[in-house]
Amino acid sequence: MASVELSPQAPQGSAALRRLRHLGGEAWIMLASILAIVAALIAFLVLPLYALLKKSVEDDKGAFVGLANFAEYFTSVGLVQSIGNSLTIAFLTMVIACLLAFTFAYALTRTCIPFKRVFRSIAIIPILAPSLLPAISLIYLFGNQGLIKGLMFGESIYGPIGIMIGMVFYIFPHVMMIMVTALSTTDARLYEAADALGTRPVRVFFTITLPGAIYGIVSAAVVAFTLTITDFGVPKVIGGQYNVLATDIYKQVVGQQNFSMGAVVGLVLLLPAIFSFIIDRHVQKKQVALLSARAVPYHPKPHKMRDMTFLAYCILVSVFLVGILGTAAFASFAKFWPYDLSFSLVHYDFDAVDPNGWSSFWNSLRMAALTAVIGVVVIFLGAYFVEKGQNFARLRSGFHMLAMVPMAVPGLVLGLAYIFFFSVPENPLSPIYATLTILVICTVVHFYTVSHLTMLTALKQIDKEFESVSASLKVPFYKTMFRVHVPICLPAISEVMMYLFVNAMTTVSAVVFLYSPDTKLAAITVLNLDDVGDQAEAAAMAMMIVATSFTVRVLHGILMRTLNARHSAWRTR
Amino acid sequence: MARKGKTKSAAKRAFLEIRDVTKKFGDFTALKDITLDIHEGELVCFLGPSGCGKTTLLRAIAGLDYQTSGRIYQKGRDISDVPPADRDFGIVFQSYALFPNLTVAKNIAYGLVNRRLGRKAIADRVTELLELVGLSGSEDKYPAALSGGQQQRVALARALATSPNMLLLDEPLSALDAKVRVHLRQEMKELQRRLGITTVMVTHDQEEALSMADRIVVMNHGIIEQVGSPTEIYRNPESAYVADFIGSMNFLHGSVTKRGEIQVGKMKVSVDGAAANFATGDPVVVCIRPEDVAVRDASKFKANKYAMAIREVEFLGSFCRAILDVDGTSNEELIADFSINLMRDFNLEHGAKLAVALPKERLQVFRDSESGRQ
Repeated sequence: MASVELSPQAPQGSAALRRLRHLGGEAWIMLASILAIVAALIAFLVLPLYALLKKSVEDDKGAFVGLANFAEYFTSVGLVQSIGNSLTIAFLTMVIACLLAFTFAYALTRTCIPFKRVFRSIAIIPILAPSLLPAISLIYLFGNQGLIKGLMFGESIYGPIGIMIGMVFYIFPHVMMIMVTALSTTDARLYEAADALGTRPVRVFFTITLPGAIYGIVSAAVVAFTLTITDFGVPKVIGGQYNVLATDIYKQVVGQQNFSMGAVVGLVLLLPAIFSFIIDRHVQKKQVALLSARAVPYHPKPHKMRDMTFLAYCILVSVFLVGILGTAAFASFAKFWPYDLSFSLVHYDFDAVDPNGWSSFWNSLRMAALTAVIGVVVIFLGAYFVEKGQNFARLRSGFHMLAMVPMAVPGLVLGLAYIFFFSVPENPLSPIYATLTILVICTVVHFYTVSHLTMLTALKQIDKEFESVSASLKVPFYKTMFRVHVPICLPAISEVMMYLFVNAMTTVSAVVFLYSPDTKLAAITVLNLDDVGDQAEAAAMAMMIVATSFTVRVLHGILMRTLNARHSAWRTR
Repeated sequence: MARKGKTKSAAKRAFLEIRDVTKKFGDFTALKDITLDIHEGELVCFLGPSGCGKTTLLRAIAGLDYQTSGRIYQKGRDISDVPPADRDFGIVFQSYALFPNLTVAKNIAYGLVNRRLGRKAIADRVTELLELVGLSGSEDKYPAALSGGQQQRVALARALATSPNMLLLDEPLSALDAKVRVHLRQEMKELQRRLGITTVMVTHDQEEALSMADRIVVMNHGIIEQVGSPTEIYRNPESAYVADFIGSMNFLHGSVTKRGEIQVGKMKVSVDGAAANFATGDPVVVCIRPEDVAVRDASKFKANKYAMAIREVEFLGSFCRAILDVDGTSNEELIADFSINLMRDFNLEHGAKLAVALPKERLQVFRDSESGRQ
């Protein structure tokens, strides 16, 4: 046996070399493209994170101080308290949001309530807005001059209660969508079997429904926890004296210019994010096998009492969601809240309150458009090489691993890492610091993973022999990619572009460290205006962002409909 | 390994020469020292169960998966390390791999466009090819609008469009209904003969291989068991494995008592020719196909005549399959296929007694240890 094992080893190496010499031009094009994308991810993700790590063990002057910064951090009572605060808020928000979203998703998937599409659309609203918006609205409603302040029974909205309500609004769509997916993938035959055995509905729920959706629920909970603990907009606006990790980073870096301490807090914030990421990956792997190909889809039967109850519930949740958005809209149009509520556009005259008012909005549009276009090209190519590449298997799987990393890095941490890496004059890439370019790059990297996975899913559905056929017909891979893969993937391409655009419009966390006066973004203007007390203007700018995101979503919807009509000819059934 | 001496003309090299090709996936050896010649214009079938390495060998010929060691020559040119794009072949996959967003015409013209032919020339070639595969007028349809059989023809037309010198077919008929399959395999065989294109087809369906191939390469566990024409493979299997894999076969276990005589239970079987080349005492299996068990004129045979009883009869439409009790032994049984005529003429039915003969020239003998099978 040993001799058989040994002999092929030697020729194997030389065979690889021989083949390298035979590799055609297109293989080199593929290799060069993969290397370029990998190099970009190293330069714009790995190295900045390394710079952050390095900063956390250095003092202000850049001398190595070991774990001194960490020691200082953990002896500072105020900072350590933020950890507890963050965990408390994240945990409670997670529980509340999951309960609300699960019930909502249950109503959409397992009951016969009317207007399901409408409810689903309403539930998506928060995605269109920066997380600052719900906080601003809550202040209008329950703040010192709040419209319905009495409902607080003397409690203050500025603090944990406000943060939690704002967070529930902000993360609701993300959690709800995962819950809907989890509840949709079920096998009707299980329910028929339970029915035939005369099982009571409560027992059916706890023995079939819940176990079937458990992976989705865990996944949703993890997402809820991570989004809450890493979000910066809500606590910044409504947190008052209640400090959390996200606001600590901002205060340390922007307020006190204490970069080393900022790096330490950033690393602390990275831990829960990485932890959630690992749990989520683990759970996703298990979920795959849950549903067999022969499963029969579940169709709920009408049940008056149940349907009415869930309808009432969905209306209630919708009132909350629309109410928050409506408050911001209303406040932005009211002449002088709460004394003169007559209609006025005065708060939309952003240049009157901020020299970069309107220009920040145009910056956002440009940034979002560039992010969507550049992002989709890079992400499509990256996913294509991972899924359809022919050679260089190890390089391709290494790249895929790298593409998963951004998911575990909170925006604030990424932004901070960019400061440490790009602001150093010795860095040849430093010229892009404080330009629109760095904002675009940072945003693409920040939202890379989800886009990459979406694209990968679309590409996986394409016959894997297309490359072989193409090679046999002597057509280079890139031609087939353009003529076949791109057209087939258009829905996913549109989806990713919309995702990138909307997120680029609404994100604050990463870019808050990276903008300059010339490249200020709309969401940051919202933050600044709120900071200086121009709340109505802040609400107005937030509404501009909502309107833009909404328009892009509608455009995406129209495009999808046209694509579907055009492509129905070549879709099998 | 050159089993076919007669086709090996003195100086001329075979169209495709496969020399000592081995393919390993980690510890698993998918192909082991495969050496094979494929001649110009013939249709060769790689036949074997799934996992026998037939598809791996096809992909190595195409360059889609490189062999771990060994060389492959096409028309004398060493293509062992050449990427697929620089080899000369057309390929049809089980899934057809038709581009769903392109019309039939564009699918077929896919490889032509790259050759910088004129628009008119391309259109003419597409029309010609569609005619060839019997799908004239389908130019503007999308693949999804076609039946499985039609998609298969389009895939074939696309593979032939660039006039390659070799056609590779990877289970081309497996995704089709039984009836369409039978119809299409005749058509494909005829087309192949008309074009005279060297063709390698991978299949696990022995019927397909027997009806289409000029030569069959029977594979098992990464090695070639036998190469030969369909008749040779069927009539003279070289191993118990091939005998068992192709068609139905009776395996009677016994041992050699003297040269040319084998004891199977209480039954003495006399054999001659190559079948007699075993030493006394060797454990052997005697093989005979069910349709070769003779009943009509059984008395005319000089040797191997036995009286047997019908234990079971299975009606299979055009013929009956009978399970016969080999006289005196309860654990040996013989399967025989009887025509309906024979059944009627001899009044054969459950429990009937009859005289059968096992014609010497139809018997195959293998060493029993050669196959672990029953």
